[in-house]
Amino acid sequence: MNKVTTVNLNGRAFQVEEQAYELLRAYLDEAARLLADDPDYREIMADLEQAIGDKGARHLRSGKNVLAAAEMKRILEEMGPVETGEGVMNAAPEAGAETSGPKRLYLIREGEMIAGVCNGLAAYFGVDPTIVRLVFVVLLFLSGGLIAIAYLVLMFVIPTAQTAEERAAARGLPFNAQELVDQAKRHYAGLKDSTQRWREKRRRDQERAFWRRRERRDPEGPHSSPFDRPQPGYGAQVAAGMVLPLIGVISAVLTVACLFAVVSLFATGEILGWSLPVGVPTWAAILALVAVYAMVTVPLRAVRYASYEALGPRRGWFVFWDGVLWLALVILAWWAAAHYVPGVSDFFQHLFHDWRDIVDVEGHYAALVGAR
Amino acid sequence: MGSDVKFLAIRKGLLEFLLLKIISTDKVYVADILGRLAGTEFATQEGTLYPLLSRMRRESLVDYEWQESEAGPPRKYYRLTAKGRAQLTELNDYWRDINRTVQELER
Repeated sequence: MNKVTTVNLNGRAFQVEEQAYELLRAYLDEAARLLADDPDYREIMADLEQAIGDKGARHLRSGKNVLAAAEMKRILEEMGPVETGEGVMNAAPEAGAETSGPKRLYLIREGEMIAGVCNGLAAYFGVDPTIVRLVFVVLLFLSGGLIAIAYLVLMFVIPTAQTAEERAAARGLPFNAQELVDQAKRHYAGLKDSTQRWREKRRRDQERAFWRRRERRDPEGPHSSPFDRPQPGYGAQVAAGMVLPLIGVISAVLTVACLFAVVSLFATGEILGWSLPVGVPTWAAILALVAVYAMVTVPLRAVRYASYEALGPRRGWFVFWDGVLWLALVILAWWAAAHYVPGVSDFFQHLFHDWRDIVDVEGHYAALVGAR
Repeated sequence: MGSDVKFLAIRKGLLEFLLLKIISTDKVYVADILGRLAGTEFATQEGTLYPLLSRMRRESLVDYEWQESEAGPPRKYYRLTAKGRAQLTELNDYWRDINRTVQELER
Protein backbone atom coordinates (compact mmCIF):
# COMPACT_ATOMS: atom_id res chain seq x y z
CA MET A 1 0.00 0.00 0.00
CA ASN A 2 1.31 3.41 -0.93
CA LYS A 3 0.23 6.89 0.00
CA VAL A 4 -1.22 8.86 -2.89
CA THR A 5 -0.83 12.55 -3.63
CA THR A 6 -2.74 14.68 -6.10
CA VAL A 7 -0.69 16.87 -8.43
CA ASN A 8 -1.73 19.60 -10.83
CA LEU A 9 0.01 19.19 -14.18
CA ASN A 10 -0.72 22.25 -16.24
CA GLY A 11 -4.33 22.39 -15.11
CA ARG A 12 -5.06 18.65 -15.03
CA ALA A 13 -5.26 16.76 -11.74
CA PHE A 14 -3.43 13.46 -11.41
CA GLN A 15 -3.24 11.07 -8.55
CA VAL A 16 0.29 9.76 -8.10
CA GLU A 17 2.00 7.55 -5.56
CA GLU A 18 4.10 9.43 -3.09
CA GLN A 19 7.32 8.06 -4.57
CA ALA A 20 6.14 8.98 -8.05
CA TYR A 21 5.49 12.47 -6.72
CA GLU A 22 9.02 12.74 -5.36
CA LEU A 23 10.42 11.66 -8.73
CA LEU A 24 8.25 14.14 -10.57
CA ARG A 25 9.16 16.93 -8.22
CA ALA A 26 12.87 16.16 -8.56
CA TYR A 27 12.52 16.33 -12.35
CA LEU A 28 10.47 19.53 -12.42
CA ASP A 29 12.59 21.23 -9.76
CA GLU A 30 15.71 20.51 -11.76
CA ALA A 31 14.03 21.65 -14.98
CA ALA A 32 12.96 24.85 -13.25
CA ARG A 33 16.49 25.43 -12.02
CA LEU A 34 17.90 25.01 -15.53
CA LEU A 35 15.25 27.16 -17.17
CA ALA A 36 15.26 29.85 -14.50
CA ASP A 37 16.85 32.40 -16.84
CA ASP A 38 14.84 31.44 -19.89
CA PRO A 39 12.46 34.21 -21.00
CA ASP A 40 9.84 31.54 -21.74
CA TYR A 41 10.31 29.82 -18.42
CA ARG A 42 6.61 29.62 -17.63
CA GLU A 43 5.62 28.42 -21.04
CA ILE A 44 8.25 25.69 -21.23
CA MET A 45 7.39 24.47 -17.75
CA ALA A 46 3.75 24.35 -18.77
CA ASP A 47 4.70 22.43 -21.95
CA LEU A 48 6.72 19.94 -19.94
CA GLU A 49 3.93 19.48 -17.42
CA GLN A 50 1.47 19.06 -20.26
CA ALA A 51 3.65 16.43 -21.94
CA ILE A 52 4.11 14.54 -18.67
CA GLY A 53 0.35 14.69 -18.16
CA ASP A 54 -0.31 13.37 -21.69
CA LYS A 55 2.05 10.48 -21.11
CA GLY A 56 0.58 9.87 -17.67
CA ALA A 57 -2.96 9.73 -19.06
CA ARG A 58 -1.85 6.87 -21.29
CA HIS A 59 -1.02 4.81 -18.21
CA LEU A 60 -4.49 5.37 -16.75
CA ARG A 61 -7.87 3.90 -17.56
CA SER A 62 -11.11 3.35 -15.70
CA GLY A 63 -10.33 1.28 -12.62
CA LYS A 64 -6.71 2.41 -12.61
CA ASN A 65 -6.42 6.03 -11.67
CA VAL A 66 -3.14 6.26 -9.77
CA LEU A 67 0.29 6.62 -11.37
CA ALA A 68 2.85 4.30 -9.78
CA ALA A 69 6.48 5.18 -9.18
CA ALA A 70 7.70 2.80 -11.89
CA GLU A 71 5.35 4.38 -14.41
CA MET A 72 6.49 7.86 -13.46
CA LYS A 73 10.07 6.75 -13.84
CA ARG A 74 9.34 5.50 -17.36
CA ILE A 75 7.48 8.69 -18.24
CA LEU A 76 10.37 10.87 -17.08
CA GLU A 77 12.84 8.71 -18.99
CA GLU A 78 10.71 9.22 -22.10
CA MET A 79 10.69 12.95 -21.43
CA GLY A 80 14.45 12.91 -21.37
CA PRO A 81 16.75 15.42 -19.75
CA VAL A 82 15.77 19.05 -20.09
CA GLU A 83 18.30 20.74 -22.28
CA THR A 84 18.90 24.41 -22.86
CA GLY A 85 21.60 26.37 -24.58
CA GLU A 86 23.33 26.74 -21.23
CA GLY A 87 23.19 23.24 -19.90
CA VAL A 88 21.82 19.76 -19.85
CA MET A 89 19.96 18.22 -17.01
CA ASN A 90 21.58 14.86 -17.41
CA ALA A 91 25.19 14.10 -16.64
CA ALA A 92 25.81 13.60 -20.37
CA PRO A 93 29.28 14.93 -21.12
CA GLU A 94 29.22 18.27 -22.88
CA ALA A 95 31.72 18.72 -25.65
CA GLY A 96 34.69 20.70 -24.44
CA ALA A 97 33.55 21.00 -20.86
CA GLU A 98 34.97 17.96 -19.13
CA THR A 99 33.34 18.40 -15.77
CA SER A 100 34.41 16.21 -12.95
CA GLY A 101 34.53 16.38 -9.23
CA PRO A 102 37.05 15.07 -6.73
CA LYS A 103 37.51 11.33 -7.05
CA ARG A 104 37.98 9.20 -4.00
CA LEU A 105 37.80 5.53 -3.21
CA TYR A 106 34.69 4.68 -1.22
CA LEU A 107 32.79 1.57 -0.29
CA ILE A 108 29.48 1.64 -2.10
CA ARG A 109 26.74 -0.07 -0.19
CA GLU A 110 24.12 0.00 -2.94
CA GLY A 111 24.00 -3.42 -4.55
CA GLU A 112 27.03 -4.71 -2.68
CA MET A 113 27.84 -8.41 -2.24
CA ILE A 114 29.87 -8.29 0.98
CA ALA A 115 30.94 -4.83 1.97
CA GLY A 116 30.98 -2.93 -1.32
CA VAL A 117 34.75 -3.02 -1.93
CA CYS A 118 34.42 -4.33 -5.51
CA ASN A 119 31.53 -1.97 -6.06
CA GLY A 120 33.62 0.98 -4.88
CA LEU A 121 36.64 -0.04 -6.97
CA ALA A 122 34.38 -0.42 -10.01
CA ALA A 123 32.97 3.06 -9.51
CA TYR A 124 36.45 4.47 -9.01
CA PHE A 125 37.82 2.96 -12.21
CA GLY A 126 34.58 3.42 -14.10
CA VAL A 127 34.00 -0.24 -14.96
CA ASP A 128 31.19 -2.68 -14.34
CA PRO A 129 31.19 -4.10 -10.80
CA THR A 130 30.70 -7.60 -12.23
CA ILE A 131 34.08 -7.37 -13.96
CA VAL A 132 35.81 -6.35 -10.74
CA ARG A 133 34.09 -9.20 -8.90
CA LEU A 134 35.15 -11.72 -11.56
CA VAL A 135 38.75 -10.50 -11.35
CA PHE A 136 38.51 -10.76 -7.58
CA VAL A 137 37.27 -14.35 -7.70
CA VAL A 138 40.00 -15.34 -10.18
CA LEU A 139 42.63 -13.71 -7.97
CA LEU A 140 41.14 -15.47 -4.97
CA PHE A 141 41.88 -18.85 -6.57
CA LEU A 142 45.26 -17.83 -7.98
CA SER A 143 46.46 -16.43 -4.68
CA GLY A 144 45.13 -19.31 -2.62
CA GLY A 145 42.80 -17.04 -0.71
CA LEU A 146 45.41 -14.41 0.18
CA ILE A 147 43.48 -11.73 -1.71
CA ALA A 148 40.71 -12.14 0.84
CA ILE A 149 43.03 -10.50 3.35
CA ALA A 150 43.45 -7.57 0.99
CA TYR A 151 39.67 -7.39 0.77
CA LEU A 152 39.40 -7.38 4.57
CA VAL A 153 41.98 -4.61 4.84
CA LEU A 154 40.27 -2.49 2.16
CA MET A 155 36.91 -3.11 3.77
CA PHE A 156 38.09 -1.54 6.97
CA VAL A 157 40.30 1.18 5.58
CA ILE A 158 38.06 2.62 2.84
CA PRO A 159 35.25 4.81 4.14
CA THR A 160 31.71 4.11 3.04
CA ALA A 161 30.05 6.60 0.73
CA GLN A 162 27.22 7.87 2.88
CA THR A 163 26.10 11.18 1.48
CA ALA A 164 25.20 12.07 -2.07
CA GLU A 165 28.40 14.12 -2.19
CA GLU A 166 30.49 11.11 -1.24
CA ARG A 167 28.66 8.92 -3.74
CA ALA A 168 29.42 11.49 -6.42
CA ALA A 169 33.06 11.58 -5.35
CA ALA A 170 33.21 7.78 -5.50
CA ARG A 171 32.54 8.06 -9.25
CA GLY A 172 34.44 11.28 -9.70
CA LEU A 173 31.27 13.06 -10.76
CA PRO A 174 30.61 16.66 -9.94
CA PHE A 175 28.24 16.96 -7.07
CA ASN A 176 25.33 19.10 -8.03
CA ALA A 177 21.59 19.01 -7.94
CA GLN A 178 21.68 16.60 -10.88
CA GLU A 179 23.50 14.09 -8.81
CA LEU A 180 20.80 14.45 -6.20
CA VAL A 181 18.15 13.74 -8.80
CA ASP A 182 20.04 10.67 -9.98
CA GLN A 183 20.39 9.53 -6.43
CA ALA A 184 16.72 9.97 -5.86
CA LYS A 185 15.90 8.02 -9.00
CA ARG A 186 18.24 5.20 -8.15
CA HIS A 187 16.91 5.21 -4.65
CA TYR A 188 13.35 4.88 -5.82
CA ALA A 189 14.27 2.12 -8.25
CA GLY A 190 15.36 -0.09 -5.40
CA LEU A 191 12.57 1.11 -3.23
CA LYS A 192 9.85 -1.41 -3.78
CA ASP A 193 11.30 -3.75 -1.21
CA SER A 194 12.75 -1.23 1.16
CA THR A 195 10.15 1.49 1.42
CA GLN A 196 9.92 1.07 5.14
CA ARG A 197 13.64 1.35 5.68
CA TRP A 198 13.76 4.37 3.45
CA ARG A 199 10.93 6.07 5.32
CA GLU A 200 12.82 5.54 8.54
CA LYS A 201 15.94 6.99 7.01
CA ARG A 202 14.11 9.95 5.62
CA ARG A 203 12.53 10.63 8.98
CA ARG A 204 15.96 10.52 10.57
CA ASP A 205 17.41 12.77 7.88
CA GLN A 206 14.63 15.26 8.35
CA GLU A 207 15.13 15.23 12.08
CA ARG A 208 18.81 15.74 11.57
CA ALA A 209 18.22 18.56 9.10
CA PHE A 210 15.82 20.14 11.55
CA TRP A 211 18.41 20.10 14.30
CA ARG A 212 21.06 21.46 11.96
CA ARG A 213 18.84 24.32 10.92
CA ARG A 214 18.02 25.05 14.50
CA GLU A 215 21.64 24.94 15.43
CA ARG A 216 22.54 27.32 12.65
CA ARG A 217 19.85 29.77 13.54
CA ASP A 218 20.91 29.78 17.13
CA PRO A 219 24.57 28.84 17.25
CA GLU A 220 25.14 29.75 20.88
CA GLY A 221 21.81 28.39 21.97
CA PRO A 222 21.26 25.64 24.46
CA HIS A 223 19.80 23.21 21.94
CA SER A 224 22.47 20.65 21.44
CA SER A 225 21.38 18.01 19.04
CA PRO A 226 22.00 14.32 19.43
CA PHE A 227 22.54 14.12 15.65
CA ASP A 228 24.79 17.05 15.23
CA ARG A 229 28.12 15.36 15.56
CA PRO A 230 30.67 16.93 13.28
CA GLN A 231 31.08 14.82 10.14
CA PRO A 232 34.59 13.35 10.20
CA GLY A 233 36.75 13.94 7.14
CA TYR A 234 37.99 11.35 4.67
CA GLY A 235 41.40 11.14 6.35
CA ALA A 236 39.93 10.62 9.81
CA GLN A 237 37.72 7.88 8.47
CA VAL A 238 40.66 6.13 6.80
CA ALA A 239 42.71 6.39 10.02
CA ALA A 240 39.85 5.02 12.07
CA GLY A 241 39.45 2.22 9.55
CA MET A 242 43.14 1.31 9.93
CA VAL A 243 43.17 1.52 13.71
CA LEU A 244 40.02 -0.54 14.24
CA PRO A 245 41.19 -3.89 12.82
CA LEU A 246 44.50 -3.46 14.63
CA ILE A 247 42.67 -2.94 17.90
CA GLY A 248 40.49 -5.89 16.94
CA VAL A 249 43.53 -8.15 16.49
CA ILE A 250 45.14 -7.00 19.73
CA SER A 251 41.99 -7.43 21.71
CA ALA A 252 41.38 -10.84 20.18
CA VAL A 253 44.91 -11.93 21.14
CA LEU A 254 44.37 -10.61 24.66
CA THR A 255 41.06 -12.40 24.94
CA VAL A 256 42.57 -15.68 23.78
CA ALA A 257 45.46 -15.29 26.22
CA CYS A 258 43.11 -14.51 29.07
CA LEU A 259 40.89 -17.48 28.21
CA PHE A 260 43.93 -19.75 28.13
CA ALA A 261 45.15 -18.49 31.45
CA VAL A 262 41.77 -18.88 33.11
CA VAL A 263 41.22 -22.38 31.79
CA SER A 264 44.76 -23.36 32.58
CA LEU A 265 44.43 -22.06 36.14
CA PHE A 266 41.13 -23.75 36.58
CA ALA A 267 42.30 -27.07 35.24
CA THR A 268 45.87 -27.38 36.45
CA GLY A 269 46.36 -24.58 38.94
CA GLU A 270 49.24 -23.11 36.96
CA ILE A 271 49.87 -20.89 33.96
CA LEU A 272 52.49 -22.14 31.53
CA GLY A 273 54.41 -23.91 34.27
CA TRP A 274 54.14 -21.06 36.76
CA SER A 275 52.11 -22.25 39.70
CA LEU A 276 50.21 -20.13 42.16
CA PRO A 277 51.89 -19.14 45.41
CA VAL A 278 50.79 -21.35 48.23
CA GLY A 279 47.75 -20.08 50.05
CA VAL A 280 46.21 -18.21 47.13
CA PRO A 281 42.96 -19.90 46.16
CA THR A 282 42.35 -20.57 42.48
CA TRP A 283 39.16 -18.49 42.32
CA ALA A 284 41.02 -15.45 43.66
CA ALA A 285 43.69 -15.89 41.01
CA ILE A 286 41.03 -16.14 38.31
CA LEU A 287 39.29 -13.03 39.61
CA ALA A 288 42.61 -11.18 39.62
CA LEU A 289 43.27 -12.33 36.09
CA VAL A 290 39.89 -11.09 34.89
CA ALA A 291 40.48 -7.77 36.65
CA VAL A 292 43.86 -7.41 34.95
CA TYR A 293 42.28 -8.27 31.62
CA ALA A 294 39.56 -5.67 32.14
CA MET A 295 42.12 -3.01 33.06
CA VAL A 296 44.38 -3.77 30.11
CA THR A 297 41.46 -3.61 27.71
CA VAL A 298 40.07 -0.31 29.00
CA PRO A 299 42.33 1.85 26.78
CA LEU A 300 41.72 -0.51 23.88
CA ARG A 301 38.00 -0.09 24.27
CA ALA A 302 38.40 3.66 24.52
CA VAL A 303 40.35 3.74 21.25
CA ARG A 304 37.77 1.47 19.68
CA TYR A 305 34.87 3.71 20.61
CA ALA A 306 36.78 6.78 19.52
CA SER A 307 37.29 5.10 16.15
CA TYR A 308 33.61 4.24 15.90
CA GLU A 309 32.89 7.88 16.54
CA ALA A 310 35.30 8.99 13.83
CA LEU A 311 33.58 6.65 11.38
CA GLY A 312 30.49 8.77 11.62
CA PRO A 313 27.17 7.44 10.53
CA ARG A 314 28.42 4.08 9.35
CA ARG A 315 29.53 2.95 12.78
CA GLY A 316 26.68 0.46 13.09
CA TRP A 317 27.96 -1.42 10.08
CA PHE A 318 31.48 -1.26 11.46
CA VAL A 319 30.58 -2.54 14.89
CA PHE A 320 29.15 -5.58 13.14
CA TRP A 321 32.21 -6.31 11.00
CA ASP A 322 34.56 -5.50 13.83
CA GLY A 323 32.70 -8.07 15.94
CA VAL A 324 32.88 -10.64 13.15
CA LEU A 325 36.62 -10.08 12.77
CA TRP A 326 37.19 -10.40 16.50
CA LEU A 327 35.14 -13.57 16.79
CA ALA A 328 36.83 -15.11 13.74
CA LEU A 329 40.28 -14.38 15.19
CA VAL A 330 39.43 -15.85 18.57
CA ILE A 331 37.98 -19.01 17.04
CA LEU A 332 40.92 -19.27 14.65
CA ALA A 333 43.42 -18.89 17.49
CA TRP A 334 41.78 -21.63 19.54
CA TRP A 335 41.53 -23.93 16.60
CA ALA A 336 45.13 -23.33 15.51
CA ALA A 337 46.46 -23.73 19.04
CA ALA A 338 44.53 -26.94 19.59
CA HIS A 339 45.77 -28.42 16.32
CA TYR A 340 49.29 -27.22 15.84
CA VAL A 341 50.86 -26.57 19.27
CA PRO A 342 51.61 -30.00 20.81
CA GLY A 343 51.60 -28.65 24.34
CA VAL A 344 48.27 -27.02 23.85
CA SER A 345 46.82 -30.06 22.18
CA ASP A 346 47.99 -32.19 25.13
CA PHE A 347 46.51 -29.57 27.37
CA PHE A 348 43.22 -29.90 25.60
CA GLN A 349 43.33 -33.66 26.04
CA HIS A 350 43.96 -33.16 29.74
CA LEU A 351 41.38 -30.46 29.88
CA PHE A 352 38.85 -32.82 28.44
CA HIS A 353 39.56 -35.42 31.08
CA ASP A 354 39.77 -32.85 33.87
CA TRP A 355 36.57 -31.30 32.75
CA ARG A 356 34.85 -34.67 32.82
CA ASP A 357 36.14 -35.20 36.31
CA ILE A 358 34.95 -31.79 37.43
CA VAL A 359 31.57 -32.24 35.88
CA ASP A 360 31.33 -35.70 37.28
CA VAL A 361 29.98 -34.40 40.57
CA GLU A 362 28.58 -37.73 41.61
CA GLY A 363 31.95 -39.32 41.03
CA HIS A 364 33.51 -36.61 43.23
CA TYR A 365 30.89 -37.16 45.83
CA ALA A 366 31.42 -40.91 45.75
CA ALA A 367 35.18 -40.38 45.97
CA LEU A 368 34.71 -38.04 48.92
CA VAL A 369 32.38 -40.40 50.72
CA GLY A 370 34.63 -43.31 49.90
CA ALA A 371 37.62 -41.40 51.30
CA ARG A 372 35.81 -40.90 54.53
CA MET B 1 33.92 8.36 -26.24
CA GLY B 2 35.68 11.20 -27.99
CA SER B 3 33.93 10.46 -31.27
CA ASP B 4 30.59 10.15 -29.46
CA VAL B 5 30.99 13.66 -28.17
CA LYS B 6 31.87 14.91 -31.66
CA PHE B 7 28.85 13.19 -33.22
CA LEU B 8 26.70 14.60 -30.45
CA ALA B 9 27.89 18.08 -31.34
CA ILE B 10 27.06 17.52 -35.03
CA ARG B 11 23.61 16.18 -34.20
CA LYS B 12 22.92 19.08 -31.89
CA GLY B 13 23.94 21.57 -34.51
CA LEU B 14 21.74 19.97 -37.16
CA LEU B 15 18.66 19.48 -35.00
CA GLU B 16 17.35 22.99 -35.55
CA PHE B 17 17.77 22.58 -39.32
CA LEU B 18 15.78 19.34 -39.23
CA LEU B 19 13.06 20.93 -37.13
CA LEU B 20 12.67 23.68 -39.72
CA LYS B 21 12.45 20.99 -42.42
CA ILE B 22 9.81 18.98 -40.55
CA ILE B 23 7.71 22.00 -39.61
CA SER B 24 7.86 23.32 -43.19
CA THR B 25 5.98 20.27 -44.51
CA ASP B 26 2.82 20.78 -42.52
CA LYS B 27 1.35 22.19 -39.37
CA VAL B 28 2.74 19.81 -36.79
CA TYR B 29 2.55 19.35 -33.06
CA VAL B 30 5.30 18.05 -30.83
CA ALA B 31 4.28 14.38 -30.95
CA ASP B 32 4.46 14.53 -34.79
CA ILE B 33 7.95 15.97 -34.65
CA LEU B 34 9.13 13.39 -32.14
CA GLY B 35 7.56 10.64 -34.27
CA ARG B 36 9.37 11.84 -37.41
CA LEU B 37 12.69 11.93 -35.60
CA ALA B 38 12.22 8.68 -33.65
CA GLY B 39 14.27 5.83 -35.03
CA THR B 40 16.69 8.20 -36.76
CA GLU B 41 20.05 9.40 -35.50
CA PHE B 42 18.21 12.49 -34.36
CA ALA B 43 15.76 10.80 -32.00
CA THR B 44 14.82 13.55 -29.56
CA GLN B 45 12.85 13.83 -26.36
CA GLU B 46 10.46 16.42 -25.01
CA GLY B 47 13.04 17.65 -22.54
CA THR B 48 15.18 18.86 -25.45
CA LEU B 49 12.45 19.80 -27.89
CA TYR B 50 10.35 22.20 -25.83
CA PRO B 51 13.17 24.55 -24.84
CA LEU B 52 14.48 24.50 -28.42
CA LEU B 53 11.08 25.22 -30.00
CA SER B 54 10.56 27.97 -27.50
CA ARG B 55 13.86 29.56 -28.48
CA MET B 56 13.01 29.24 -32.19
CA ARG B 57 9.72 30.96 -31.52
CA ARG B 58 11.53 33.75 -29.72
CA GLU B 59 13.74 34.16 -32.76
CA SER B 60 10.45 34.22 -34.74
CA LEU B 61 11.44 31.26 -36.91
CA VAL B 62 8.34 29.35 -35.93
CA ASP B 63 4.96 30.21 -34.54
CA TYR B 64 2.17 28.14 -33.12
CA GLU B 65 -1.56 28.18 -32.73
CA TRP B 66 -3.76 26.28 -30.34
CA GLN B 67 -6.05 23.67 -31.86
CA GLU B 68 -8.62 21.47 -30.20
CA SER B 69 -7.91 17.78 -30.52
CA GLU B 70 -10.44 14.93 -30.52
CA ALA B 71 -8.64 13.26 -27.65
CA GLY B 72 -7.44 15.31 -24.71
CA PRO B 73 -6.58 18.96 -24.26
CA PRO B 74 -5.83 21.47 -27.04
CA ARG B 75 -2.46 21.19 -28.74
CA LYS B 76 0.11 23.64 -29.97
CA TYR B 77 0.47 23.32 -33.74
CA TYR B 78 3.71 24.79 -35.03
CA ARG B 79 4.29 26.31 -38.45
CA LEU B 80 7.12 28.27 -40.05
CA THR B 81 7.10 32.04 -40.20
CA ALA B 82 8.37 33.91 -43.25
CA LYS B 83 11.67 34.34 -41.47
CA GLY B 84 11.81 30.64 -40.69
CA ARG B 85 11.13 29.79 -44.30
CA ALA B 86 13.93 32.10 -45.43
CA GLN B 87 16.32 30.55 -42.97
CA LEU B 88 15.36 27.04 -44.12
CA THR B 89 16.17 27.96 -47.73
CA GLU B 90 19.49 29.38 -46.59
CA LEU B 91 20.28 26.28 -44.56
CA ASN B 92 19.29 23.97 -47.43
CA ASP B 93 21.74 25.76 -49.72
CA TYR B 94 24.43 25.72 -47.10
CA TRP B 95 23.89 22.01 -46.50
CA ARG B 96 24.19 21.31 -50.23
CA ASP B 97 27.46 23.27 -50.33
CA ILE B 98 28.85 21.37 -47.37
CA ASN B 99 27.88 18.07 -48.96
CA ARG B 100 29.52 19.00 -52.20
CA THR B 101 32.72 20.00 -50.43
CA VAL B 102 32.81 16.74 -48.50
CA GLN B 103 32.26 14.70 -51.64
CA GLU B 104 34.86 16.62 -53.60
CA LEU B 105 37.43 16.05 -50.87
CA GLU B 106 36.77 12.33 -51.01
CA ARG B 107 37.93 12.07 -54.60
